Amino acid sequence: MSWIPSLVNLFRRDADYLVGLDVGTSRIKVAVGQERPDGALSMIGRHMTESEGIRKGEVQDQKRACDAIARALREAEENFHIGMELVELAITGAHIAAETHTGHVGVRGEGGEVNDADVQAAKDSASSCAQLGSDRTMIHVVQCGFDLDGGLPLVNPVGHLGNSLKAEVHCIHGHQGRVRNLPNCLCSKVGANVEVNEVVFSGLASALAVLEPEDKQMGAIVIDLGGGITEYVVYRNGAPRLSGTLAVGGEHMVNDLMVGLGIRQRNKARKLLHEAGGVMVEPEDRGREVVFSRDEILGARQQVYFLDDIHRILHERMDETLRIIRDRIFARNASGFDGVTVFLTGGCARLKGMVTLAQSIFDLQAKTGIPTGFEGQEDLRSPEMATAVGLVKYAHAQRLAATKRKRGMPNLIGRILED
Amino acid sequence: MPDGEGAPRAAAGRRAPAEKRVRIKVIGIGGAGVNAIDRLVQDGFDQVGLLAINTDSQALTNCMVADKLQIGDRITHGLGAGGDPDVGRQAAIEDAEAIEEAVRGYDLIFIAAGLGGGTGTGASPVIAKAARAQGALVLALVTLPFVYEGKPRERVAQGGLAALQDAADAVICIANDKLYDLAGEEASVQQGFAPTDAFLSGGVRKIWRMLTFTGLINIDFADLRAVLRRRGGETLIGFGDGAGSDKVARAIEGAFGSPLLSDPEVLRRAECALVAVTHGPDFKMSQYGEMMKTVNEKLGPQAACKLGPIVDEDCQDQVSLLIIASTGKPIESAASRSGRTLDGAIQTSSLNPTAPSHAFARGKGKFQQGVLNLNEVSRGAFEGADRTVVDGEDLDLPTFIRRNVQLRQR
Ligand SMILES: Nc1ncnc2c1ncn2[C@@H]1O[C@H](COP(=O)(O)OP(=O)(O)OP(=O)(O)O)[C@@H](O)[C@H]1O
Ligand SMILES: [Mg+2]
Repeated sequence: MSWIPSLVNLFRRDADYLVGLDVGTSRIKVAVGQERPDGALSMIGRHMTESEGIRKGEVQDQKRACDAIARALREAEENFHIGMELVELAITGAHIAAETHTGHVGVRGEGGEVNDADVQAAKDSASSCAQLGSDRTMIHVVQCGFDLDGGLPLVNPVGHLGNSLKAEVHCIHGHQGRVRNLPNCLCSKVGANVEVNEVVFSGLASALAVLEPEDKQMGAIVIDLGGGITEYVVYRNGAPRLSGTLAVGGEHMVNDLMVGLGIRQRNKARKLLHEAGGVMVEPEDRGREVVFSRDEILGARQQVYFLDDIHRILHERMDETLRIIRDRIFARNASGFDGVTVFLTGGCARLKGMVTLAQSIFDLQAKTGIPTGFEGQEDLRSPEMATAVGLVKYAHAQRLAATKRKRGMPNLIGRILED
Repeated sequence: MPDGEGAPRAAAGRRAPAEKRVRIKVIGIGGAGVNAIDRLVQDGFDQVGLLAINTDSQALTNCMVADKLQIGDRITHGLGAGGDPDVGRQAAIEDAEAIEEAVRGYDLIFIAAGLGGGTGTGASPVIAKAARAQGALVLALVTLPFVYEGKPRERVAQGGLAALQDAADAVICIANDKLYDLAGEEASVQQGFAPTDAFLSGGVRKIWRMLTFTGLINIDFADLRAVLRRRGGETLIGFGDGAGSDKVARAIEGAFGSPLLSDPEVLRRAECALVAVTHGPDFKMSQYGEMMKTVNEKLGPQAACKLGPIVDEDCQDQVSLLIIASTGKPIESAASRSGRTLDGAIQTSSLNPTAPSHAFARGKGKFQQGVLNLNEVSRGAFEGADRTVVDGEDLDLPTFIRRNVQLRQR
């Protein structure tokens, strides 16, 4: 990819770039953006390479993962003619869990007017309900909303009058040791010479990338179907209320194809997944064959596979995966999901029939989640780039919130992302 | 796209990386035991440690195994135990230190011996005990004397067997008469080897292969341990090979024609079994199904089975079947009584690979670490990662198999 730095970019310090690093099980994705002088986000580009040493979203072989990350960052720097100092890093893993908690405090601001300290106290009271075990660590405390004396939901209660302030927070946490494994791969002594600014749960990042404010308000279920793990985040009334992971991904489908069709080479099964994959068994599949010639597969004889077998195998896997996630989401309360949309991101969202399948399992409208909310760079608008782009948007929102705080403006954007 | 590269990164039939490999040693004890491991040398099998132990220095000198240990020189003066198991036992005790040294650092130790004589019968239990004390899983493969050798020898053998059953994790015991019966006098004479040795050599090699090659669905050392470390009962083994158009039938015939698996009554009592199938890349799902159907019928519905298909490129149009079964009960310990299951326990499941596993998954609650999970999928793809288990169901196993979905037969 050739990219000629514009004059503006030449005069910017490297630290002004916003870099999202998504170290996935299959691929490492780097998204680069920057804040324009008017404050809007403009994306510069993406870089994608093969990942190594990652299983089910987590570091399994530190050496190989470090090398792959260092290589990906180096190549991205060369591609975009920039130096990277700070990155936002996505993390995921089967150990990640989340709950939503509420907390109440009496308003102590002068004249019963809620002040910042009250807000903080209410949030602290809510997040203290999380009661994490000694081996757990908090990744995010996302503030979902407030109300005063049981009244209407408030986005920002500061300045309102009342007695009792209720805060709702969504707490995302992980295993203390496992949360550190990926960031550890980025410290300078093992290769990559960048600093991790913040660690963000992959599912949350993907949601940030693809959801418009209206989607968050109407309700959205974002499911990121990756190579080794699937993350999901549920937004209701503008904020995330439920999130989690299921360590099943594209590699499971590859494995299923190997077992089902007697394919010995993983690469060959992958190729089959990408080129003939689909999760709905269609009537027209009957009798159709996929032929692998001798040239395509070194050494093996020509192989013929039935399309309906392939689709059947993949259908069972994705049907099961989505059902598990649906049951987890609907477990508490299946009602009130009218108008909610399911967004599918991650590489496996590219599979034919995924939207149809999700639609039928959730009985909700579904679509492929495409990163939005920035200018330029069409190649960033693909479902597998969601996490990386979401990280850039996260960094951008944080920066905006910080600037506004500095200028003494009310912190509106930060409310979704704070902490 | 990187597809089409020659070497697949985590393909089936690959050998496990060196650091993951199970450290195995085969120890032949006494005359018959040493002969048996000689056979391994003749077969060119050098992937595991081999050690010959005897009281008879002359017999040791003649054997082909490089690593030899003469025991009890002070009491036997290198002349053998004279058919007295007490002498064999004393000899082993006398050289306890050297034995301890020899069995240190292994995961799995095979002990091969012919029961009925002095050294094999007397020394084997002592050596097995030492090996277990060093942390190895000990599997003894022993023979019982021919009937024509007489009652006293039979009694000696039975005494040794009882001691060995106490000392080893599992004992696979075959009567010589039965082995020779099944092999057929002529066949064995023509090929110039004793069926006992062939049986031992074959068993060791096949177990080694099962543990060393990673398949899509993998049988590992923990699985073997779960089948061997059980309470009471008998340990059974059988294997067969087939090639060409009737390869499946041949392999089944071979396995269920082996002396220990040929008794349908004993088979029906099997509580658990490991079924390893090694086949070429051309092996069809339907053939696999056919094979499993027979195995299922023979073993009976109560047997908890773990299947491990291994694809071996060198096995074009060939298939090999290895079955290790036990009629013993799972070991119960304080831990398992309090709700945790040790790795000695194997969950009950249907053998049929296409049967839904809901039966054993349901109601089990959280998956316990250490419990042998049946039908598990390749560690190849997920090596180093925890299994994905939801409501007791192992999601690493293909959904279509767990849901019993039939694919189109080809
Ligand atoms: N058409 C397709 N093109 C590319 N990849 C596809 C396609 N269809 C399915 N996939 C699968 O998508 C997966 C990669 O997706 P993605 O890049 O989102 O995962 P990842 O971020 O590397 O993994 P994870 O999030 O699980 O750690 C692979 O398993 C790949 O096989
Ligand atoms: Mg991902």
